Amino acid sequence: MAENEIPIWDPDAIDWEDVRRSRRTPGMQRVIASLRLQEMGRKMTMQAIRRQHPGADEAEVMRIYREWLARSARLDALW
Amino acid sequence: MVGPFCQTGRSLVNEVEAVRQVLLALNASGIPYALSGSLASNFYAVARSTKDADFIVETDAASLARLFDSLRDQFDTDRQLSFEMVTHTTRYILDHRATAFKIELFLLSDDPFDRSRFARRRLDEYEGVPVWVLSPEDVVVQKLRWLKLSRNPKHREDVRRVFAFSGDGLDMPYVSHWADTHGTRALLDEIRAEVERCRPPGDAG
Repeated sequence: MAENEIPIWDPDAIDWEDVRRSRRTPGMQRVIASLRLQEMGRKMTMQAIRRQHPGADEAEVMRIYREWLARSARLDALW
Repeated sequence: MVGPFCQTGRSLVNEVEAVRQVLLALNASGIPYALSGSLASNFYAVARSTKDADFIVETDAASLARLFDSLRDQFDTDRQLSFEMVTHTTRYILDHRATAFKIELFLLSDDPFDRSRFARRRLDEYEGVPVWVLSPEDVVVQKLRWLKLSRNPKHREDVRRVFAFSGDGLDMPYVSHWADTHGTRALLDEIRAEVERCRPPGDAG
């Protein structure tokens, strides 16, 4: 990992090198990194939707993405 | 024709900007608030992705209506107060139209811990915008409370992340006091012991 890269949490194990590196990053940069991760996930999901629905325009892609989000939230709520 | 992969620079229509717009509106409105939830835990830990941004707000209906009006160009606002089943709190949800990112505004309640954590919030800066954030102790106490109620592993992970990151830096008497009050002391001790067992020698946070 590059020295200036912001580490990402791995739930399977605590990577203490990531923890040490994160401590050198201002807190708000980590908040922004987490939002960038979400942005990346959204873009990848929407790209997958475009591949599965080649005829869909952007409004339709967003509608399907919102459905996917709602399903994911329902699964989350099962806990 | 220039395809999407040839574009240079970042789009301003993204989650970072959505949160920035809400912060600008909150600061302009004069509504006291605090960033909470997973974004606040990311402030005190190794970053993880999050699907929404939570804020606690201390406000009245008129101020809230003005806040929603100021955000209506980019957000759909559900003006109907909704009840959060896990924590029994009330909230409003803002939906960022361009990204479907959700901003949840939880109303400050009379719950003693809610009042305490709000009083302990601290000022920082987000992309040049002032932002009030919960303290790490209050992030841990709240996550333990959510974990007790929902058993969702993401709350456990968030507590682990903050403990791993903060080491000796947390005010543990404060955390323990609220954990005792909320009946989450066993969870607190268990997760803390789990992290401390694997902390490398000499790492104090």
